[in-house]
Amino acid sequence: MKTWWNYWPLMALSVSFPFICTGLPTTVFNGVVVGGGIIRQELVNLVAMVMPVESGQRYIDAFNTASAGEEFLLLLPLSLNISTILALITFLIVSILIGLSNSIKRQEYKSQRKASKGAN
Amino acid sequence: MRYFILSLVAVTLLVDAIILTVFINEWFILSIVVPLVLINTLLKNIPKKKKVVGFELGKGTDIANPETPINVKHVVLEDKVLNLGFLGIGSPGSGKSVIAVSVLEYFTKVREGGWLYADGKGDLDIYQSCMSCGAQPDKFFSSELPNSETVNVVSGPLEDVIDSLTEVLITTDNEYYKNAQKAALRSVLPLLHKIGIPFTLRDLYVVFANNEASQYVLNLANKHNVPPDVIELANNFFEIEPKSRAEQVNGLLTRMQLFVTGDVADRINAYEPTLKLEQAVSNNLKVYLHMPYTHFSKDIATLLTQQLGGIAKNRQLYEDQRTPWPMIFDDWGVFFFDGIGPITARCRSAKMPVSYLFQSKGQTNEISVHFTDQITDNIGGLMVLRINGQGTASWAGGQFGTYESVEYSANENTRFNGTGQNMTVTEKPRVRADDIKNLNAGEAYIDTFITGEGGKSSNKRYKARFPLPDFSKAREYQWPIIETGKHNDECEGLQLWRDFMNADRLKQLKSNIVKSALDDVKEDITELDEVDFL
Repeated sequence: MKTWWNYWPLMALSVSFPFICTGLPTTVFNGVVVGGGIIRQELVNLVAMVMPVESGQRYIDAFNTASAGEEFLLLLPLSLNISTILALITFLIVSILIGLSNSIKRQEYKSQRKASKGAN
Repeated sequence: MRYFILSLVAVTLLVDAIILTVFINEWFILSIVVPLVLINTLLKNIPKKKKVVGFELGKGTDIANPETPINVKHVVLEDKVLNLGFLGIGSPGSGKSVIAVSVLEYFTKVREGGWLYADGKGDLDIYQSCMSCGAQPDKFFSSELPNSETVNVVSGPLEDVIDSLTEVLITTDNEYYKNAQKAALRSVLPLLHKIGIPFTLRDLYVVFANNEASQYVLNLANKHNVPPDVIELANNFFEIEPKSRAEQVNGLLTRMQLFVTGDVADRINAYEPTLKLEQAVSNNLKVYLHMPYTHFSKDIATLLTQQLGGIAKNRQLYEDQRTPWPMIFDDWGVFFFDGIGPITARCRSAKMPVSYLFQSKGQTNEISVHFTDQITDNIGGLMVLRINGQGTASWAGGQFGTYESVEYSANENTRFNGTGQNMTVTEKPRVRADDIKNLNAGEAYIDTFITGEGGKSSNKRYKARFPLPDFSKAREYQWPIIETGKHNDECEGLQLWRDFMNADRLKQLKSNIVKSALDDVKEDITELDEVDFL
């Protein structure tokens, strides 16, 4: 029988994934800029596009002058939203998975018990 | 996990709302209200339930699966259960009477209805408890105390009176005398009944014991146009040779003497009783029967129970709007008699649900093993309090059925780097005898059976503790002193006991009759003379 004890690492990963991504340091590898900075910048652009022009501009300005830690904090609400969405999706998928797996297992045991009592 | 997800969503929405309000528009804060209310509802997981009407016991545990008991904030004994009657079983000191009193308090204060409480123990404590908590009776009858209501134990439908007197008065094992005594009752009681004048057991005694009284009753029957077959039947009995008749009914008269003499006799042979059970039921009164066990009180109890059965029959036949009139028989084990099974079923059907509280299954088994089954089959609830005896405790535990216990084991084989799982399912008793023995006073295992709308049935099992009513004023009360109603001499009735059991009075009556007859003859003679003269 499966329970959430079997899947909690998956949930932990789903919840922490956005924070880990946006919290990674930035570095140059083989002349290519890699790390959290790229992700943070992409996300800020994405958010600024959907915000009202004036607020969006202020948000970008704040981001341009921010340190890596401040960038993380600026993106914290967005990370939280992504994290929640991922958690919901994970919850839904794993719940179905647990339910289905346990149901099959229950049926299996039920059949075995019936068979041991003499049923066909 | 569900709580974690819902909490995460709530936090996210709150943060979003704050940020959007600060940076974009202050109205965004309002957008949080609806989702938060929604989440709060989901968190509490409260689908709005229909309010259950009944006696609230408070906190308890749902023991449908005793391995995973569910805490219940409000264990409620639904009215539907109480209206079917319940069976409470527990050893002395387990809290049976306190439960009875607390249920009476509920009937009185919350349902504002009538009830009957028959106390087979007779302790002053119980009466004081009732009075203290507000379950105060309108009528109080005692088989022991000198000041209580009066009743007429032979009132009611003829067949019920014959049945109850047969049950109580005929005790001989000899078939010849048994049949003769039954025949005597079946001959005389219809005659007294058809005359239409109130009579008591004392009158019946006089009819059997005094030949002049029997002749008087026959004359009275003729005068009151009693059907000739009834008169003839009685006449046939009275015409049996006196010695032989006396032999036949001797046992009957000896039994009747218990009920026609002594202090209590005045209160159970009233022409105009202050406690008429039929009126008590129809007027929804609260009746307390104080019947500490003696052979005599058992007989009285049998007569009154038969009356209740008769009342239930009338309700079944003629009343469609029946107000529940619950009856609780506390410590009634020794009062059971052969015919109580059908009476219990009839009363329940007539919305006069009978609830029993007794100490041991052995008490019902004394009647018959089937009687125990009849009770458990007919009731709406079973309350098992602490029971000391293994036999009764095992039986009571068995009433709660079994549940499937699943044992799961996992092992790891280090040698072959493998794992194994094993699951065992066994059926275990939901409540074990030891669990029952370990209950505290007032604690009970409760099993309720309800058939709801559309035939949907529900069987709930709880462990709960009954609330203790307010007994703080108990010591302020003593046995009631109830004014006796009208004396029999002042009432309309057959008055055979008054007229035929007092030699001087009988002599006076006879002389009056002779004098009156002589006067009539004189008048006739005068009239004849006048005729001759003319």
